[in-house]
Amino acid sequence: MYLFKYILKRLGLVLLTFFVVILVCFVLVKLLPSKPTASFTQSQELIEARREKMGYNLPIIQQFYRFVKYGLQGDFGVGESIYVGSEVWEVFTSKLPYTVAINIYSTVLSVPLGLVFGVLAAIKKNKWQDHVISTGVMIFVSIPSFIYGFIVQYLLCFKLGWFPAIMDASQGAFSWVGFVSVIPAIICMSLGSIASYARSSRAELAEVLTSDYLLLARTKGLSRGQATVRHAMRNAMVPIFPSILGEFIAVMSGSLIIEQMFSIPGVGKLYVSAIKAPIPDYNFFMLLTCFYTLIGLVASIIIDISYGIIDPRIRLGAR
Amino acid sequence: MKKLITLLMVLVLAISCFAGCVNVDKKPGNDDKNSTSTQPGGSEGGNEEQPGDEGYVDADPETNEQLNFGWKVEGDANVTYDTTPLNVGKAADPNAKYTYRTATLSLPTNWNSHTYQSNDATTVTSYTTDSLFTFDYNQEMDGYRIVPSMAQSWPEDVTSDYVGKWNIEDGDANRVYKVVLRNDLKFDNGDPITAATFVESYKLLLNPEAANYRADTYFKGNLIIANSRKYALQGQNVYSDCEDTYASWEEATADGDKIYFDLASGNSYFSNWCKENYASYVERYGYAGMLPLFGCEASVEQIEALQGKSWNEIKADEAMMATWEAIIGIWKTEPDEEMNFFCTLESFGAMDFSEVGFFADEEENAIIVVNEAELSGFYLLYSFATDFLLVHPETYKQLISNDQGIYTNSYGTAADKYVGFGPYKLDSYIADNKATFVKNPYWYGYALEENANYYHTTNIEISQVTDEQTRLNMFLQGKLDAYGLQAADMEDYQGSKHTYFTEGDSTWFVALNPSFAGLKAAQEAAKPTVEGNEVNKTILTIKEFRQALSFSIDRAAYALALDPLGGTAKALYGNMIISDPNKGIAYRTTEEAKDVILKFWGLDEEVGGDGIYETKDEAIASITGYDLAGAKTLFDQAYDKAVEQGLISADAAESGKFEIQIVIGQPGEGGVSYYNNGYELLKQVWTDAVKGTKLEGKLVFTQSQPLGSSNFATFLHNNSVDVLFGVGWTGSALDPYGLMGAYTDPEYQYDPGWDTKATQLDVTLTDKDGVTYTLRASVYDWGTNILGGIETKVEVIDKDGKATGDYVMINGGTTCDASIRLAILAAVEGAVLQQYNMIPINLDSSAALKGMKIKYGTEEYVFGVGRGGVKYMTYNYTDAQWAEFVAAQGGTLNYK
Repeated sequence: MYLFKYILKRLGLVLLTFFVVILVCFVLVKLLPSKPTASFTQSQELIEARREKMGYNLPIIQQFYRFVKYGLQGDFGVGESIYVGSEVWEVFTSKLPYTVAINIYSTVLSVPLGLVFGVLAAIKKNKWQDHVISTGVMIFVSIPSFIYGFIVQYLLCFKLGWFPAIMDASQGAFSWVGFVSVIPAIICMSLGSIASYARSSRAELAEVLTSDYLLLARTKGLSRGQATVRHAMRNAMVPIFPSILGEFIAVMSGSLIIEQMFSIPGVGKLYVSAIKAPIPDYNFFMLLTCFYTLIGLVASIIIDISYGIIDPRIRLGAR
Repeated sequence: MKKLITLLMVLVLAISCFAGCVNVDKKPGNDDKNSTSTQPGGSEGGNEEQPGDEGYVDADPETNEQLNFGWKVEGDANVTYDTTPLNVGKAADPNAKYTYRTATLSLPTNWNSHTYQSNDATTVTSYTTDSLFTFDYNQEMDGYRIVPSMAQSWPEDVTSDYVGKWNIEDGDANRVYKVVLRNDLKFDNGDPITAATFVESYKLLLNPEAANYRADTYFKGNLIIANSRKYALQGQNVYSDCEDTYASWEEATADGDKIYFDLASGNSYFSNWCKENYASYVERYGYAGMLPLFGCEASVEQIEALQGKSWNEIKADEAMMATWEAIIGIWKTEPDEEMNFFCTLESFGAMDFSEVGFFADEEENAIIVVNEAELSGFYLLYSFATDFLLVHPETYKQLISNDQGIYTNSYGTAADKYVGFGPYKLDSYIADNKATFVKNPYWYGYALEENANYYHTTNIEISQVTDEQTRLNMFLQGKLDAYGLQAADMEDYQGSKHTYFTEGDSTWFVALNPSFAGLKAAQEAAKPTVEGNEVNKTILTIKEFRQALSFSIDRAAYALALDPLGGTAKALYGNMIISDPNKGIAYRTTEEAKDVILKFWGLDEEVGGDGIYETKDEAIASITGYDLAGAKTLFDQAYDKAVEQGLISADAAESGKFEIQIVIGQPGEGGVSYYNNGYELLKQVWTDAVKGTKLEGKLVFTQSQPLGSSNFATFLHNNSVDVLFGVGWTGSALDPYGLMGAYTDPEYQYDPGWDTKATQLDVTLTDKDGVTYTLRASVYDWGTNILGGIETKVEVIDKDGKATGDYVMINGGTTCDASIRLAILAAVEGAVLQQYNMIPINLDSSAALKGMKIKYGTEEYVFGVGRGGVKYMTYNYTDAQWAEFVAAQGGTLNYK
């Protein structure tokens, strides 16, 4: 019952936060100077006529009402500056699989590897294995992924010629051809995540391994491996698991630089293009704002709830 | 408690958001149009005295003699019609596969010819569309000609068949043309293309419900198809600046019901002027409140009562008339300035498409095009070198939707939402990744014997690759067949035999907008960097200062540092601008254009005779644009003038406690090396240049925040920045006459602070009888109206430079004799340059590596045809042979 009430309360707050964020973004983007100045070869009359038809001359509050009214029906309008005439939702969903694909591949690769390295480093704490892994972690956590991008692309695609330099998207996001062609991108995206998981799992596990209850478990006759797997790992996962979950949910957020570098036709570039267009594309901007805000809020609520499921003590803490 | 506070904060936030909501002006046309800087009754401190300011006489053209200039070209006598096919090369192996692979920074997201907004669209349409007439090599392959493509024959003048319609009178010519189409035209899905298809497509383009972005293509240019604008704008009320519609106040008041007093909208000259020069005051007092500040005795309420009233309404009301007289009494210093307070309203009623001058002669499979003005010669064919934005009507209509009650169309956004009609067919398209093309089996051209040796390319692949190094690496791996070199690549590839250089048609400038009022306002708002210093910006209004800025820049060093491919710019137009397109004569090779350069750089007395140079070309070649000693002298002169005019106060001059703050604009989104490095370079150059002068140590430079990629000129217009560099106008290589409007029309000028309507310019022209006249009109009239093809009244000046009282009507449009147009163009170019507001710095140029797989049609770049494009491209290797060749080279090719 407590959990149910807790979830209800969080959902209410999520909706409120979502509404406020969307409202603020809508108003602010509409206040941006967005009208094209007179171009030497362009009739301003037509631009104005189009703006009138698009409802841009209505008071902003009325425009917001329209946005909410149609948005609740799943209609986010059409592209006005980019993908002109196309349904923004259709464009977004056509690009989403590419982003999801590389992020899933990347997460699937980085979670086990990150945990393995982290566990190994914790078990071999202060030995050469730990030093090697920790040094690697420091390097890969510190360097942004696009730096790996240049190196990986140069080595694997040009020097060794193992992979194409850009994604072959001709057979779809989840095709074998597509997968092979994005391996360099997956590697670039994974290196930082692997390091990050390794670092947090090492830290958590190392702390747990030195705790009193683990000593107790050993004195009760459990082997080091049994104690580690049955007791230490489970406790160490409490803070790590939600972050993995969060990453799975955030796979849809995309990576602008990696997508651009490897010509992956995902959603990463959409947000920037919508704002950078000569006339900001309000519809794309608002759809993406709604989407990412929702993703962030849902991820946070799921993570919060997952704590309670993983560790019952947290759930009982609610009043 | 926490919940309550949270809810309260949310409520406050929401309320503050709504408080921020503004009601956007509903009137169409309230763009950021620029205005000039005439002050009401104020001084023009620091502004240059313009020649002939006092000589203006407003006379009625009807009462003045029409002089016999007679420069209208008869018919299309100058056009050379040549359709003889070229016979070069040999046919390709029909079984071989030749794929042309290239990369682009950005694939288009829309290539619907009715709605596209970015030139990226041509990435698709250049292969998938065709045109009635097209550019081709001449017989020698060293120049261009225009030949029929989708058209079966040359345009036929059928004006006489339509007397009584579209204002065509007996004896008129060159207004209506018939173009017979080929009978074998097809879309790439096999559907036939007929004259009716063109007409239906044109109707879809002009659809008033759609308000298509490109609907103005045939009513804003040389080809103005009759009633297209009226049809496209049906149901609209269009407001515009009174001066855009009427030549004089007298003419405007004759339409007293159609002109409206307007202080508030973006169409009003007055409101724009106030917004640009006194933005902070406008915020405080409102537009109507500005007039009492300028000394008008009418109250704000009385002034506001005039808003929206027609001239006839004001005239009929004694009280309103008294207010009007109080307003104009403090404002008017020049003729016709009453128009600064009025706008016009055009209401476009319902119209049937049959009234539009674009229809079919279905019996002959011909389209008939009615132009609102006469059009002949080269520009006729050039205007018809188009597809009239043809679309596949059935597919197009299927993709129309009324999303949220708004007309939309997704034609041209995916391979299955588009039907082409060019030599290639869009086979696949993945946004942000790749587009592929195959030969269009329905294209008539492949069946023509004259094309037997051409179009070897069987497939085209265009990838989106944003990173330059990735593109280069792919090129070196043989995965791309061309690579556009970057500045950083020049060291390695400048001398390569595979490198092809191409000069562009753009000139890049350092642009200034010396609006006294604007600079003064910015100066007053600026804070000194050293306490106690007087801040100055108005010194920019002194010509010597701007001239000194120009002379300080070593163009060669500038190019080396920022744009190694660019050449030195010496005038508004570069070497690729064609002034006589029929003969292919480049403007800069004409004597008139050479004289402009020589005069601008002060070498006009140094050629021939006792001069330093034997020829004009020799003198022009010697110009570097760099004269440090001259710049230092000019800086001193500018300082003296600034002190004399009180721009720098006597106290500040005496104590030396002043600083000249110059904000250098940063177009783009920030982080662009060209603008960042350029800022540092200019800062260093100008700081060094004032050393040893009275301005030493007085220049303080700052770089603006990124100004964005589209509206950056606005920041110069409102004097938020003082200097922009690396900016200019691109395109219009065949129409420098029309482009001159960009430098003389305040709506487009980078420097609207220069009042081109108030600046008189004398131009000497020779009529067809060999008699020479000097004529006077404003720079605006010469550069925008006359060269833009609008018949305009100009005054005849006697040999002593005095007005004779005689007037002549001049139209310098496409039907005007080439020599007259050229003379006007050169005169206006000279006038613009002499302001030193647009300081030419470097010329646009590019270089590319050509892959070993392909061969171009010609080694030299030919205007209009390039190096032959995909039509003339041939291959040294088939795809299979190429893969073997690259592998044999170890997978990496050497192009150095």
